[in-house]
Amino acid sequence: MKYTPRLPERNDNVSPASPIKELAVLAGGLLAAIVGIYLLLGIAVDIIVPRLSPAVEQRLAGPFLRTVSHFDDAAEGTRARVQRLLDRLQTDCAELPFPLQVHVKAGQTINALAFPGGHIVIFQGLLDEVASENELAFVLAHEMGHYIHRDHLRGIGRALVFITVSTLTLGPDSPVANVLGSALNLTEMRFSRAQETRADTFGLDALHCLYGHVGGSTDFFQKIPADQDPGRFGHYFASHPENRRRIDHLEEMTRARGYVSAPPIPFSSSE
Amino acid sequence: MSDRFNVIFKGEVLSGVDPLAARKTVAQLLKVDTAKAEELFGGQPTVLRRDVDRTTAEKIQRALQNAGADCELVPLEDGAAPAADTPADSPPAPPRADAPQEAVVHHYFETEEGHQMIVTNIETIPGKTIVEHFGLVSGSTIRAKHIGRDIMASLKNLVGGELKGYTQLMAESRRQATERMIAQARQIGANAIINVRYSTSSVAQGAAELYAYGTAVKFV
Amino acid sequence: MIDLIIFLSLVALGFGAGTFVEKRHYRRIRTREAATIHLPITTTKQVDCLPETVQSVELVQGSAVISVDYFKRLLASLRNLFGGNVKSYESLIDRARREALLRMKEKAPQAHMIVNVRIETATVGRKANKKGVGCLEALAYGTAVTLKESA
Repeated sequence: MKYTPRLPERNDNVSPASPIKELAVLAGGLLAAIVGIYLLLGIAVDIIVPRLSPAVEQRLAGPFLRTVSHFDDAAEGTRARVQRLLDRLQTDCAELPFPLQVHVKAGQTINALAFPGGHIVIFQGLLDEVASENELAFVLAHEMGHYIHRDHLRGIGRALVFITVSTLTLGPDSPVANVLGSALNLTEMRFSRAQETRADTFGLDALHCLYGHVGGSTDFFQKIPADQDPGRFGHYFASHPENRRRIDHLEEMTRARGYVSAPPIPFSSSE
Repeated sequence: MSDRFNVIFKGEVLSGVDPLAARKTVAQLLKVDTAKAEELFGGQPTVLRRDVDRTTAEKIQRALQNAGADCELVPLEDGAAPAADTPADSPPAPPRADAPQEAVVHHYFETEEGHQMIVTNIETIPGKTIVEHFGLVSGSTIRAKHIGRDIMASLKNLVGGELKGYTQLMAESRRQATERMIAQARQIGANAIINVRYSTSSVAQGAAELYAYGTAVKFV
Repeated sequence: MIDLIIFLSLVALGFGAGTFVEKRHYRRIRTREAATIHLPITTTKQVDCLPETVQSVELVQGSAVISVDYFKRLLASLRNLFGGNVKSYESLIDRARREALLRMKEKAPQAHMIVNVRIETATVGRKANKKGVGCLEALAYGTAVTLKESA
C-alpha cells in the first residue's frame, strides 16, 4: 500500500453560500414570522372576544386595573354619585351580563375607560368638564354601549390574547399577567369608527329611556371645536377626530326616532 | 483421468514476491483473518476447494497467482479418498467456484449526486486489494431543528420516549457528513474509505454536530 | 436606540474582524498542510511495514480552540429558530480540526506515518444556563511511527 500525498482542491465541509445572504434570508424570515404572528393574533382576538364568558372576563380585570393603580382615587362622595347614576341606567335601560362599577381617579385627563369585568374608570378631569347630569349619563351610557358590544375587549388589542391565556392557565395574580398588564397602556385604547357609532346609538337610546328626552347628548362633543386637536382630551375624544360627524349622527338619529330635547339637569363634580 | 480436481494450497509463494504482502492479499482474497492466514502459510497442505471442474480450479489458481501465491491442482482418482488427509479446519468460507474476486457482494454508499463509494469501518475491504492510500478525509455538518420541534422535544422530556424529530435530524446530518467525506475522497482520487469513525458533539444549543472521518484508499 | 447601535456595530465588527481572521487562518492552514503533506496519516491500525524496520512509536496529539465571532453567533441563533444547516459554524469546526491535525503532525516531524488517528470535539468556555458557544476545541491524536534509517 503506497501513499500518495494529495490535498483536496475544494473544501466540502464549508458551505459556499455567502454569510451576508444567509443573514438576509434569516432576518427576512424572522420578520415575516413576526408579521404573521401579529396578523394571527389579530384574528385570535376576533375569535376570543365573542367566546369569552362574563365569568372569565371578570377574572381578567386584575391585570388591567393595575394599569391605572398609580392614579389616586378621587373623593368617595363623587364616586358614589356617579355610581348611583350608573345604577339607574343599568337597572332601567340596559341589560348587562354583570354589574358595572365606577372608579373615579384623580387624574386631570378628560377620559373615561371601559375595563374588562365591568370596571368603568372615569378621571376627575372629565367630571370637571361635565355641566349636566344628562351629559354625564350619555358618557356612561356610551361606555355601556362598548360593554354590550364587547368593544372594550377588542380595544385592548392583541395583548388580550396573552393576558387571557396567562390568566386561564396561571391564575389572575401570576407574575406573567402582572408583567403583561403593566406593559399595557390602556389610556391609548382605540376604537374604530363603527364601534363608536354603535356605542353612541346605544348611549342615545339609554339616555332617552332614562329621562324621556335626549337633551345634553351632544353637549360633550361641542366642548371642543371641530377643528381643534383633541390634545389633552383622552380616549373619549382621541379616537374620534371627527366630532362634527358624530354630532351630526346623533342629531340625525334624534330626528329619525322622534326623540325630543329638553333642558338637562345641572351637575357639578364638587358638591 | 478425471476432470475433477481438488485445489490444495501448501503455503507456497511465487519467487520475487514479498511473503508478508502475499499473505495479506491471500487472506483478503479468501476472507480469512490473520491467524488463519498464518496457518495457511504454515506449510501444511490445505484443501481450498474440493471436487471442482477444471475451469474453476484453474480460475482459483490464477487468482492466487495474481496475489503472489501458488497452489496445486490434484486430479481426483476414481474411488480415491483425497479428503482423508485434509485437515478438518479447512478455510471456513472458501471462495465460490467462480471468480473469487466477485465472491463478496459489495454495498456501495450512494450519495445524493449519484456517486458511489465503498465505505467500511474495518481496516480492509474484504475481497479487494488496497493498493494506495491518500491520508485522512473527513466530513462534518451542524444542523439545527426549528423551534417548533425544540418545543415539542421539551414537552416530550416530561414523559420520555423516542424523539422522532431528533432521530431524524441526527440521521440526516450524519448522512450529509458522510456525503461530504465522500466528496472529499473523490476529489483526491480515492474509490473507497476505510476505517470510518463517527463522532457527535453539541456545538450550540439545539444544534448537533456530526463528524465522519476515515482513510481514503484506492483498491483494485 | 443606543442598544440598536451597539448591536449593529458589534455585528459589523464581528463580521469584519471574523472574516479577516478566518481568511488569514485558512491561508496559514493551507500553507502548512502543503508543507506537511509528505507525512501520511491514516485511521487504520495497520502499520504498513515489516515489524523489524520500526524504530519507535509515540503517541502524538494536537489541539486547537477556536472562538466564534458575534456575527456567526447571530446567524446561528437565527438558524436555531428555523432549523437547517448551521452554515456559519461549519468553517469554525473545519478550522479547529485541520489546525489540530496540523499541530499533531508538527509534533512528529521525524515520523514516517501517523496511524490510528482519532479526532474529538468538545465545547469549552460555555457558561451554565447560557445559550450559545464560547468556543470549541478539536483534539487529534494518533501513533507516530518512525522507521529505521536503513528502511
